[in-house]
Amino acid sequence: MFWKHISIFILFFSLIPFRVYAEKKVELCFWQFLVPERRMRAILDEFEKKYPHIKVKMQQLNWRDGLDKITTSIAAGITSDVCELGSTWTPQFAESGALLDISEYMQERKDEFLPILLSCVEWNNQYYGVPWVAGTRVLFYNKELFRQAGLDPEKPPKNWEELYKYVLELANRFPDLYPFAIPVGENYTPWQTFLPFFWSAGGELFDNSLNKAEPEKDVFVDCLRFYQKLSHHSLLARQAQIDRSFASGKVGMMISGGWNLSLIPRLNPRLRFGMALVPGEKKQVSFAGGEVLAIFKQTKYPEEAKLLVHYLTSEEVQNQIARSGTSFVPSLKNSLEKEAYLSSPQRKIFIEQLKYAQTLPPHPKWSQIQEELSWVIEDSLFNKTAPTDSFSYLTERLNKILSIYSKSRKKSTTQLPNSIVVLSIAGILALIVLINVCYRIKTRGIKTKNQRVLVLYLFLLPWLAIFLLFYLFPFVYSLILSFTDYSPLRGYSGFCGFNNYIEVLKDPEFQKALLHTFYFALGTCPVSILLALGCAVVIYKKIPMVRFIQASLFAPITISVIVAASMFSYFYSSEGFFNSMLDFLHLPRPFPDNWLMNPKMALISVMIMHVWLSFGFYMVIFTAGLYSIPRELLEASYIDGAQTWHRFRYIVLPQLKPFIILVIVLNTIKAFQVFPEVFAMTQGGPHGATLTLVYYLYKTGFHQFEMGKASAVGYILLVIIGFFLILEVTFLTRGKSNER
Amino acid sequence: MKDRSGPIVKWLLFILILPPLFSVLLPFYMIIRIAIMPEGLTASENGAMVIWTEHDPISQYQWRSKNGMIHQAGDTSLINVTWQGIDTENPVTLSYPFHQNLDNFTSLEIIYKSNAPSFTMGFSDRQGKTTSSTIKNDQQGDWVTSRIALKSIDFSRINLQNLNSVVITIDQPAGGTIQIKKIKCLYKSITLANFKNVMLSASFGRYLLNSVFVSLLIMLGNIILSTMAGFAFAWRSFPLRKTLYISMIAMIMIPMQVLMIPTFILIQELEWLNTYKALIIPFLIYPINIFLMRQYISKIPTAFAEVALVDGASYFTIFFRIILPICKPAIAIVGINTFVNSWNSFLYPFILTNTAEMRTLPVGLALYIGLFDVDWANLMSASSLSAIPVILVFLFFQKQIIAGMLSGTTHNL
Repeated sequence: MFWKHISIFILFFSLIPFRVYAEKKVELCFWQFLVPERRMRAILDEFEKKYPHIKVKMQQLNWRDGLDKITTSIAAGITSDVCELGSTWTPQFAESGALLDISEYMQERKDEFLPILLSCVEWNNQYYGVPWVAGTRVLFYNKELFRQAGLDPEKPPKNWEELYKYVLELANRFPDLYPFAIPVGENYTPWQTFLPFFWSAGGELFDNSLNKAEPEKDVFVDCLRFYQKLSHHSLLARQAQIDRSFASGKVGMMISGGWNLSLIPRLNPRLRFGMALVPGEKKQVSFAGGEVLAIFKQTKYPEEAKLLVHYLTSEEVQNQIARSGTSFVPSLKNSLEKEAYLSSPQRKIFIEQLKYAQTLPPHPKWSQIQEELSWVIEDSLFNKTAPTDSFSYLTERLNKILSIYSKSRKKSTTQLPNSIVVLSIAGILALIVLINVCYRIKTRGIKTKNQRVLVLYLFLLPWLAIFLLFYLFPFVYSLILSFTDYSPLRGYSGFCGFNNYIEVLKDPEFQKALLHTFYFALGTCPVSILLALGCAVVIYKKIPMVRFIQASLFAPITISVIVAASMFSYFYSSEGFFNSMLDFLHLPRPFPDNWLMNPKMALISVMIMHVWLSFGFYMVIFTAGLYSIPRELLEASYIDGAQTWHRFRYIVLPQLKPFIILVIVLNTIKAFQVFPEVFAMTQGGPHGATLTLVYYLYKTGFHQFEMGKASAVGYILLVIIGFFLILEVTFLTRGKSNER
Repeated sequence: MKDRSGPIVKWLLFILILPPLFSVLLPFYMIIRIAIMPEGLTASENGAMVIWTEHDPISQYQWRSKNGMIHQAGDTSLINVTWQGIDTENPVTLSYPFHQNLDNFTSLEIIYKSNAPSFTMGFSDRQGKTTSSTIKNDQQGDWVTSRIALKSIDFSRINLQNLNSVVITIDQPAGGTIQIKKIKCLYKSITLANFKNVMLSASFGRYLLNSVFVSLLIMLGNIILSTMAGFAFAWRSFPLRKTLYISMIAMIMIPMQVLMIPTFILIQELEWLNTYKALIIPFLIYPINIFLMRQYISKIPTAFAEVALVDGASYFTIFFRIILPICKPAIAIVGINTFVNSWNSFLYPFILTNTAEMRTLPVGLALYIGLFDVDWANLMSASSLSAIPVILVFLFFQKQIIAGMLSGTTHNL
């Protein structure tokens, strides 16, 4: 007995991790997107050699989800020391107080950088970051198509009139191709092509102080009208799709970025393309963005972090990064002028364009602003809304965002207090009591001694511990958050009762998302259940090659949603499988014929993929259910001479009932919570056609940083799902009490 | 049980299942096709990538030449280079931009006419270093097709990841001309190079190891914990049973994005960030599994177990001797579900880890996806590789499902 205790004792302490205190070396943590991991490591090794007392830990982020990680880390109060940020993110992080003010450092260096990039790192007249690299968009055009259409390949269009003339010429000569391409279906690309047009005609979205949105009406309307005119002859797709179509020679002109310089030769080395400044009405303006290096406030070693930033933005390293073939150019004036690599004609055009480029208005609510912009652009392209209506809608929406923002700025915010933990624990207890009151405990079954019941708790204990800690606690925690105006960046300023819930329920976007989610659930659940049941029955019959067939039907869930989504995006594209099927059946194609870019077809497309992804698992459950049916029952029915259908209806189905309930419940939950498919394929677009509840939640919480509101959406969703589940389960088990 | 449906019915059913089977397998066919084909193959002709042909006009920054005159001869648009009296230190170099992954190619082919007895052909990288192989011109003044196997080129001197151009160097002191009709690279028709790339990249093994370790532990934990808890839930009433059960169902219904920030804060407070603990322990229970298990166990008739209880058997005996064997199919489903979920789970591992050593496969795979540029070949081969363990796990559990049927005699009790 003694040894038993000792061994438990030792086991317990061996679980406590030993901390190794290494020699005192400053360890910096650095998060970045831009440079491939191995090459960045080499650069950092050089840095470590130069400053032996500093060690840099690097974490490679990816573009799709990097922002989520940064947001979560800020919310939890642990961030890296140095981080790469996109230029549009900087104002909101600076505003939230997450970034270190490095004005003193920047005062010395600011003349070294391209002047337009400085506005990306400036907030309230203080500097919160150092411009690292710059990127801009130029006009790419297909020289071969130009030549065949009788246009001069060395004279690309310079203004709107010429551009439209060229587009018409190309459209006449090549009715099957797309003379121009307009990005849609994403949040962050539609305005990247539109705003330069708008700027070039002399428009500005906001006044200088960024307090009011007053785009010039005539300019905006003209510009949108021109855009609509172009869209008749344009490929409407996501940027990545446009780049690929251009590389395969199907697009005459597009406005795109430097990554094409390596993409096009890789896909189609023979494509002869030219690059020119973006055509503009008065001046040839383009959009400039870039990457910024910022230091987080929580860093313990601000001086060392500055050394790292200084090293990474030094001329030598910038040239090295530029030479490694990224799509960006350095932010230093010196490098742009002197570096030989950048003097090739292909790179030069980007540097030339940067002179005429404009950065975005540095506003912390940019993510919301860009959403409204994209919405208006897509609206006028898909629904042919009159430009004047779009204009008044946009001005109203933008002014609303600005006024809400300036109001919220006045509130003082704090980080979450620890009392929320106490509150959560109290909440857990309250929840338990509440549910207990609702369901009086009835002891059923045979009476046992209390000891035996205690043994049952032993079975439950390990599960219970994890459940309470990692599920119930966060659950109650976020329930409390849903009653506050908590934002991961700003902290919170106080409880606001049911305001979040009321605001969300009133939001027309939420109502739309709810409707889409209903459609989605109604459309997918019956199909995937019937399909799964059918396949399970067929497999149970031991048809030829049964093992292979079963494994293949199961296979879709083995690959990650990202990969499946990219495959399906290809199937849904203009030249993809679904369109060729339509052609084969002599059915008309939808317009636009890229299904995911078509507001009418996009939701159905996501539904098809969802069924494809999920029905295999339900099939496995049904198979297990079929195998668990006592064979004697079936044998008896054979002997009694029952018909196949009757046997299925009166013996198999009732026996399968628990499994059917299980599958229906799982399926309902999954359909209501559909997120990865939407996230990977359409991101709620085009024109909000695939906005579902969880995507709305994600957008609110992680793009607009309204976590309180987002949590409220989560709990509304919980109520909705719960309602449907109760409905389904009572319907399925009505008149019977086979549930114990 | 004797199977009573005849062969005709079976074949009919087989035909019936073909359409879903086809639609399920089609994307897989595409994935594997992308994985085993070199990336540029779509833009190629007859298994070769044409780098330059006589129909392509020469533009200034496509062909570049040092010390030589490039001109295009009228409509024939052959490339035509003449030079005069150069020395060996300043050879004529012609270069053409070329950014490709050479793993996909077998050889370089050139069709030319020249009066030079030999010249060299090779590649240069962005730093300007070159490597090349000599071509002997036997039929001076005639059209010749020469092929260089890429194997014969010494690639140790240049940085293959930074290839910049195809370079033709001629160091003949006497003047001369060269005319080029076509340059192309011959593809391997099917290549395992993408798989090789992925497997040999130092981190893939580590990602795989992490994924296998984490997913297996999560799967085992889930099987054990959820069977035990499901048993407790299904078997008998005890205080708080309904409460816990309902709150567990609520856990299934709340979207995970809502719980993300609190969970992250919790794990940070526990100082578990970037450890296996953070990747495993919170996921040892998936609420959905308990639901599944309870649903299955509650279907088992209680009569015999009650007899056992009265006979003095403990709950442990009942659990291990009676419940576990019957539950095999349910365990199989739980196992498959858990393994698949944790194998493919992306967001939590991404947020909870900070270093490359701790990454799981999906987190590593996501790095192949750039903002606008996706590394398709590597992404597809990596993801088809990463599907293999899941298929293996499925095949293993599939056996258990059928074994459950064979041993399922307890239902008759």
